[in-house]
Amino acid sequence: MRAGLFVLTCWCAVALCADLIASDLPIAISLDGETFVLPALTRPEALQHQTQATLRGRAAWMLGTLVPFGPTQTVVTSGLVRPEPPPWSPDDRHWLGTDEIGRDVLARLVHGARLTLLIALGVVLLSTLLGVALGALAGWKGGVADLLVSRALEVASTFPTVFFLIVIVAALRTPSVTAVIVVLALTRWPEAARLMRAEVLRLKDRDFVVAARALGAGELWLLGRHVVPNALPPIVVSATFAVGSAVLLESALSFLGLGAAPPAPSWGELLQQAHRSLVTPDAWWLALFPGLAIASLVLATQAVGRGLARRFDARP
Amino acid sequence: MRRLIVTRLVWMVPTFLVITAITFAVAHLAPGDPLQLSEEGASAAAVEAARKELELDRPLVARYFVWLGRLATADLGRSVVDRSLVTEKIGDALPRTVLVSGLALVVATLLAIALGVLLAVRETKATRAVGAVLALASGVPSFWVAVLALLWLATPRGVELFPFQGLSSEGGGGLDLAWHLVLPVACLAWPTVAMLARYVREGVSSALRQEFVRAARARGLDERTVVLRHALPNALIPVVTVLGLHLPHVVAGSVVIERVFGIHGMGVLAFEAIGTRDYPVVMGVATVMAAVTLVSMLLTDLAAAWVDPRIRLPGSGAR
Repeated sequence: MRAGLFVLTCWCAVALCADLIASDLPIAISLDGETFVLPALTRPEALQHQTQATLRGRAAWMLGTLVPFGPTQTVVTSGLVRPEPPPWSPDDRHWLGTDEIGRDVLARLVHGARLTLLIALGVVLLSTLLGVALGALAGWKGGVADLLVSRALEVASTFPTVFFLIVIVAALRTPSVTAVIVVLALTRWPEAARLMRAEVLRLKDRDFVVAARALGAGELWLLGRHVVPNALPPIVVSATFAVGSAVLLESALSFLGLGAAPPAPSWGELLQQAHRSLVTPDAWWLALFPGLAIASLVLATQAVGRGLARRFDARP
Repeated sequence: MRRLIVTRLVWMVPTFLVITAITFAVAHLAPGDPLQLSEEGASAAAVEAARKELELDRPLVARYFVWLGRLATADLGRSVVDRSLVTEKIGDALPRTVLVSGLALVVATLLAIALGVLLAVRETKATRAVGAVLALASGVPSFWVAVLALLWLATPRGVELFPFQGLSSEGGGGLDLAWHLVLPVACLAWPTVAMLARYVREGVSSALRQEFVRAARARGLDERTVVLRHALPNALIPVVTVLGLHLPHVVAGSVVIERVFGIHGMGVLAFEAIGTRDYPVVMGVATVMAAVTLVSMLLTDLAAAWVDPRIRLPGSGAR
């Protein structure tokens, strides 16, 4: 649990501070008497077509990033010419190597963490909210609402998800991040709904609910204040595991070339690139590192999920 | 038992209709149609005629019912792109998908049962290592393993042990097919083994703590019989259910694996069809995959009822 939390926090920090860790421009620089802070975000005129390598000699002082390359910076834009063409294997300059147009793998991984985590967390948040709302409705109201939600649950879980995703994502041509989140959430809500429905059914006739009702509490108050909060532990546990599977699903989707559009790279996309370049050179670093990143994130969420399950004594 | 089958079959109909209707709507509401994509140089009259044939000028709901009517006579239409029958295309692709994912499912289940039992009855350094590997494996994307396997086991730079793409090479027989199947099946089975073995292990070790196992031991049965004939069948009941719920994931995984290994199955077919907005093929693939998923879920439900009398005989008091 602790190790899982550590890895998860690290990835979140990397995602949040991606521009401070890997960028084509430095964190802060003083050039010709002018000081720029975070030029990677403001993109000032004076630093156009510059990189950390070209700026190093000219600046009065400069606070560089740990990885002095941007995620889309190619061999052409970085101006680092080498006798042999890219992809270059890992060395002291490109720690994890580069792809076939000279983009730094580590920089792409760091920035990919942002997209991957954003999509995974968005999917889990949206699908959990949807599932909790529909599950609570079904469990609490019963009757027609329950029948409808239960049927919808059945349809949603027998849906050939990936074929549907292929259809819908291709229909959108170049899907935006929001579109990918919504589509994935629409296929992931049944889990939370099923759990929530079962929990509400278990809780709705408990003494504390009956007592609150006897004291004159309204339906919404009963549900929102008494039933749902008590039903949350298994939902939280299953949502934690869902983060891991959302990461896997998103990367599979990007791997198929159906993810959010480039140039923002997601981890699945890096693997797709690795697969494409399998035919020609033996660039093992392209395949190895993005997969390790995905696996570490998924395993971390699983470890946290197991820890939470033990703590809450709740099995999803 | 018969009543259970009938109820499940009846409920499958609305589920199937909803799935196909949603897919139909999404596929057809997508911007752009096959005519724009495939025949940009065609004359206005030709485009109009083709549009008539595909009935693109009729309302969506009407087209859905026409499509449904044709489906009833096993007519899925013709591909817009190469005019071949959709049923033929699917007939060509489906066996490959079924072969790869079916084989993966069988291999994964058998392996998971063997590993699960082993982990439940033995606790040595070796089994603990196997358990750790399985725990790690559940977080590892199968397509990553596939890419790495290709890289190191099928390219000249690694060990060129397995074929790189496809399901058969020229003039190859059964052995050749089996050789081509090794990597795809292994990569597809991998996550299922990891997930299922944990359930088997938990099931067997909790069954081993129960009264009926103690009774069986007290009667002097040997440990092998106790585990395999008494504990394991009881542990398998939840496994069957989990397997049913997991089935769509295996199908989903097969799409990615087909892509990596260049196998022309349903996933690759759907992929190509979407790129050219070939509606009849897209709908055909989605329909057949929905039917396959529904039928296999029905089969797992029936298998669950078969191994567990409590489901088969409702109201018999055991619950």
